[in-house]
Amino acid sequence: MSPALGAVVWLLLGPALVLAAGPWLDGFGRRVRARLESRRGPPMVQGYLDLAKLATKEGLVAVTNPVTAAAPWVALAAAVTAGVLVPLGGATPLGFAGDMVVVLYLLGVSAAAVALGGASGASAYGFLGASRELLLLLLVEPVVAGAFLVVGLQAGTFRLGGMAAWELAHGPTVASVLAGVAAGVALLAYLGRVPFDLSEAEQELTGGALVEFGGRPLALFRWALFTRWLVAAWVVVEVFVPTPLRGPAGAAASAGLVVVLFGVLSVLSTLIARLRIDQARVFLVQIGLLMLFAFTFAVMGA
Amino acid sequence: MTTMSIERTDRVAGSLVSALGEHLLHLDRPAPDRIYCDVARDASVAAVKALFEGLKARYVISVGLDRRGEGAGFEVLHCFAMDEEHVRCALRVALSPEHPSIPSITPVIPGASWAELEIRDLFGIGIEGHPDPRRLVLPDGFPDDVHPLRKDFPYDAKPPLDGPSRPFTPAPPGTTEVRLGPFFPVLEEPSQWRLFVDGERIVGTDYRGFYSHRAIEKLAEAKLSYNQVISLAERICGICGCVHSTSYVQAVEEAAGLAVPRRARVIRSLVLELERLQSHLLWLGIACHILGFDFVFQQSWRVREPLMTLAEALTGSRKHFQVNVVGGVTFDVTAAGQERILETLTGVERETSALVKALEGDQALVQRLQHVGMFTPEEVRLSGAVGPTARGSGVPVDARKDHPYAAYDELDFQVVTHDGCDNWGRTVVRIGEAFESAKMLRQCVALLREMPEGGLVADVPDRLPPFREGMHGVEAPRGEVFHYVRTGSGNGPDRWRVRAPSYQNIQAVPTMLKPGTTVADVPITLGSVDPCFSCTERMEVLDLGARTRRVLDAGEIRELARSGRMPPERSAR
Amino acid sequence: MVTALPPLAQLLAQWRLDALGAAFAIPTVVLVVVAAVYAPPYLAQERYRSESPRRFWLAYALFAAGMLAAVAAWDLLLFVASWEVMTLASYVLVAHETSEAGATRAAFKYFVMTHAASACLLLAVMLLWAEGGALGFDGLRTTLAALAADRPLLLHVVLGLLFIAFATKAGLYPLGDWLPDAHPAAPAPVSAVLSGIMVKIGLYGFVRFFVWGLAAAAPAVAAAWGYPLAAAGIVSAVLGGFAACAAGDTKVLLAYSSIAQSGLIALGIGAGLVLAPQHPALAQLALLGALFHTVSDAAVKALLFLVAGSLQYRTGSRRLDAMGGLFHAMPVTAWTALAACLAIAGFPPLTAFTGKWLMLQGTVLSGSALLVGAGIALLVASVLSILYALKFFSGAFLAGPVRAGALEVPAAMAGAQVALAVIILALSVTPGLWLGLLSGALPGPTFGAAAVPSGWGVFAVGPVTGSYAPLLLVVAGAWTCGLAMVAIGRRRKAPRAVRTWMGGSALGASLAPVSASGFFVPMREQMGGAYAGLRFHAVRMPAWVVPSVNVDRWVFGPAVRAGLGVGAALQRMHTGTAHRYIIWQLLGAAALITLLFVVRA
Repeated sequence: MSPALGAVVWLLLGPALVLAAGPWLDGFGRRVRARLESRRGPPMVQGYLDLAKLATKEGLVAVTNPVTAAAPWVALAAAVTAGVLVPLGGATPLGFAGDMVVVLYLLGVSAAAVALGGASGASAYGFLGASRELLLLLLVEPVVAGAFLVVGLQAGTFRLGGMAAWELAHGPTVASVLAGVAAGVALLAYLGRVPFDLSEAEQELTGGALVEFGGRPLALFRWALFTRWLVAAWVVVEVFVPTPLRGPAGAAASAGLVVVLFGVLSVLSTLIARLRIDQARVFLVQIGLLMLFAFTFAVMGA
Repeated sequence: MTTMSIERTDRVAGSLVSALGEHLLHLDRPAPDRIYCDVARDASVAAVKALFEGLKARYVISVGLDRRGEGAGFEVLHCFAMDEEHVRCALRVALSPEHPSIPSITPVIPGASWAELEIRDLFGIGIEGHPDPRRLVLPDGFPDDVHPLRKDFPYDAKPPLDGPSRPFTPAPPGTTEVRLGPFFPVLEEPSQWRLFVDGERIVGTDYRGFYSHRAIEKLAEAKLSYNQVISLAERICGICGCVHSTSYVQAVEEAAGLAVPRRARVIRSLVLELERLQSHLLWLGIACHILGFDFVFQQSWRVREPLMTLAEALTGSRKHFQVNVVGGVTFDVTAAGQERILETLTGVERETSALVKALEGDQALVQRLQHVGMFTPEEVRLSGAVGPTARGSGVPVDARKDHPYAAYDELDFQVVTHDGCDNWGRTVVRIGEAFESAKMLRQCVALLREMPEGGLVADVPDRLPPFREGMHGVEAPRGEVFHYVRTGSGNGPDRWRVRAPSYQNIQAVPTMLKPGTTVADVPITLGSVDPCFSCTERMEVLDLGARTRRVLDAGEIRELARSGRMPPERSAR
Repeated sequence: MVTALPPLAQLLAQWRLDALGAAFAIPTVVLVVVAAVYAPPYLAQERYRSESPRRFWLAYALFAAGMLAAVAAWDLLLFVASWEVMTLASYVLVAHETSEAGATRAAFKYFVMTHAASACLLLAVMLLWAEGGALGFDGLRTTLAALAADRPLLLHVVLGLLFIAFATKAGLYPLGDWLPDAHPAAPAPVSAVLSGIMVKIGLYGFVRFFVWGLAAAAPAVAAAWGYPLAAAGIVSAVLGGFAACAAGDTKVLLAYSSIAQSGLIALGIGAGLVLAPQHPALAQLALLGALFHTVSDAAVKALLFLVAGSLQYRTGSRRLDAMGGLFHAMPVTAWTALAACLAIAGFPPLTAFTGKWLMLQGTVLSGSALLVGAGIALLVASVLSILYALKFFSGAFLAGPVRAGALEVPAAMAGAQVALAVIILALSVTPGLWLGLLSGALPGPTFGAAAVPSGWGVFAVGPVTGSYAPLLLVVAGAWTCGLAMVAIGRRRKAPRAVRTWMGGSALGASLAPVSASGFFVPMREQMGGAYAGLRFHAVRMPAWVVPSVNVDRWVFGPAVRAGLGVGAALQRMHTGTAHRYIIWQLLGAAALITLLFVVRA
């Protein structure tokens, strides 16, 4: 297949694949959590069922303006587009369209769209939720991006294909291992999972940024969230533990690693109580220091 | 009346006489450890000061009475407790039958605020000089000049709902107003907190409760017999109903001078401790849920489940055990039941220990609780807070030790306190108490084993003596439950006043939300007093036949609830 | 210098607009025209009724001419003269609202600061002339090279003076402290030009003297000066970002954002200087990023200031708290504001991403500790720009109850906003085209077109170190939405509008529980106050630190007090207004410069 044809095929198929895979992680994560809580838990397809149910509900909107109406679509589109740029099975058909920085920024767009939706209208819950979402973004984005930059620095490129290839060729270095650990730990916050779900915090803000959304818009926001989980875990796997396998085998190996990583995150998420924003800051600043260590090693060439 | 009890009542009566001086009109000691002092209306504040500030008595509640039927006027009782002396006393203030009013004691005791407003709302007794005279108990729209607890108000009367509503405090400029409730995920019952926040920091609060006021006192006084009230009392709370029925029957027994058989007293203690154990485990789950820690929530409720099955096996019911009658209890704990208790306890204790160890090791969790919701011992005294809320601030107030009832004088247990004065302190106290409860349950089983079966109810005369008073406290999981009963001329009480611990504890929450507290800390601080608060403010009605839809507001729902018919649609929205 | 040419012809020969100058001149022309279209209805407001429009337009014309002359001057003296005209004319514009005491004070602070800077520039130029004997830019490199070889200390003094002059104009911390005061005072179209392009002329100075001149003449010295420049950029970008997030006044927010964006550009230029000797390819990326960001921020920031002006025009306030829910009432302003806010937040596929992304490659991939640190600071500054952009947009247009009524601004104002929004979109989707053009503006052969990798498409940018094709991302996003729409099924009926319920009652238009200034308050508290704290409050700092970092107190306060005293004295002497004094000063400066020409001839 010529690169151009490959790009076109992936442009058409990729989004469908990413859209389809995301909600499975939700069912999986909830199953893991239920088992830890001595419960049976929902079926693995609960994520899809939830979306289907929400999609059939009547739309009630408290805020009627085009930007708020577009926010859920933007959140989903940005997250899926980020996913299409990530290598799969050693191939990056759309590598020319965006590198690692673009992927992280698109995930940021997705998070910001949620905040924009939350900051619309008169609900104080939504407002506080949006404020928290963005503050968390400020804390976590530099840490996660920094960890990826460490590998980029060593590989001499931000192209995801190039970074994975370098990681494969040079094996894990002190810097990339430290950065990988920092990224892995910060991922919990990046994904907005329990200890860091401050912006939704049911018990404090009754759903926070999403409080005024229901039906289809809420389904789209949820879908965007699932996709963000998938893409973020996937890009961490591809950059820090790339598989030498190629083709379908490589894709399967990566998918397996994504599931393992997400499972571990779900366990952590179950066993940690929600943090207050100041605790989250202290935690992320510590992870940030780990990331700076990684940079130090990377600059020294280790 | 034991000699010790007579001695200390003498001692307290002596100090009351000297403290009240010329304000004291009459002193009455109808039962062991109970003193009633009559004081004049104009001397009531001075008398309250002498008791609260001079003798360091703990404020319990104020009770209003309508004695016009007996040829007297209105009356207000300010109830206090001298915990160290194990004596309860009340200041009786007689008021005029036509235009009753009484000076406010809230400036002296902030914790008396709700009690006074309730007397004003329900009896129409004016409160002079109350700092926040907005209506408290009566629903929005209820007329201002109708007072439901007066004897001339029929229990089933429905006055027109065209009266005033309770206003809220407006938010200070530049702040965001966050409204928690009336429905809110962590408030299991309706109540509304308005938080005025600058960013995430709280600069002020306003509270509105009494959404689910059920007028049970009126019902009991107007319609029910002594033993029917027990069922009603049991249902005051869905988690710790037994404390209410126990407190009520003990107040009646005290007023009638009945002696309850020892086995019945042990069984009361046993059931009360079983209730406390399950309630604390329930609370632990909810507190962790509030903190977003659902793992502990699920596990703690799983650990609690065998206790509920046990309760069902013993009493026939998971909740609302309904064990009490006036003069004793209705069932015995058999040898098989005793075995089962011990068995269940072993499992529950082991699993709770493991859970607590995990909790205490979670630094992030402990940090979220420590130094948040600060509540100093002086604030405890001023607010009249009780139970773990007070003990978490190092104040060892516990009705089981201070005013022993049931079989607590035979049981060996610790009053668990913690000096943290914060949410963590209150958590530690509850965990400690859960283990103490398990210990007491074992002791109760041991006591039951060594005494003969049977003899569960005292001989109760056909008619109880009229217009005798009893005031009795039971240590509920949330603190002291206090019931005041005045016997009536028929087969039911003339006056029954219930004060749940949350009545005082919720009043103290704004004190705990010190400036600088963040929104994230509010639910857990509120949860830390384990508030015990049902009603609908808003309801959407779908008419599938006509394919129409209406959203009812608070007023329309009240109309619907009272008339049973859909109110007419108003055009102006 | 003696030539055969008569002075006037000689003067004309000293103008030349090279590609670098054009990169600044074209945005200048565009912004000056757009702002001029916007201005008439804006100045027709009640509060400007008592001001002279003639004075405004004269100063505006001089201001525009001054800026164009500054970038087209091929002679040190002309450069200084144009710079002075630009500064004085802009002072008159900032002080347009003479009836407002605050405006006059802010304008005076601006005057004092920029004139201190001008003095530095004049001194530096005098030193260069004295040393090199030539005033033309043609001889600049020779002069600089000679200085580097013979009198390095003097060279550093000259460069230091230039640094102060340009950094002040560019709004770098702490020298750019005039921005948060001048902008709220100035009329919106003036703010737009001021922040959109005049601040960038300061950056032009850096590129012209440090990159074009110094890097070619004395690379080692240039690399050394790259460090302070990058450092000033980092500090400005991060502190400016924090301060913008904490601001509740639209124009103050945008002023701090100008400081932050200027900081980013300075960071790029500094990184380019540092990297030039060892990593020319990365240096080129950093400089290209900086230049692209300069052009893109010119359009974006100008548009944002126009939006702030439109909001003030309709709501009568600059406070975000007084706005909210305006989307329906001002749709055109809202949509253009959305484009600008998303662009300044750096969201792909919009403009600011491209510049930041190139600078990120240039800094991080160099592997130099300082520049990697600069890269991380750039990340933090980028996230901060997301925060304040969303705060600005949602605070003004989304948050709070929906505002009813048609409050859209007059066609000329709306048209100006739309024009800038179109420019932003054009810059966004075709980054390759513009980067190709800008690479021609970089001085070769070190940085210039020769070093540009071939094969950059119009729509895609793909250096070896990264890749970015904005239009393809849009296509993928649109395709995703289509797929999702199929997946969740067609909507059976339009969503039903309901009211927001809280606390058992619906929130009406009169009851707004939300206050935009409450946004990010935790940050204000937790991040230690950042810029705003350094300026105004003693938050967790030893007592001696605060006054020493409080630029306002130790420089401008006394200077302004002294200046006002002199102004008052002059007023008494001349029985005229402060403005007449300024005009006298302008004439004086003109006379001085004419004298210099005569002396030279």
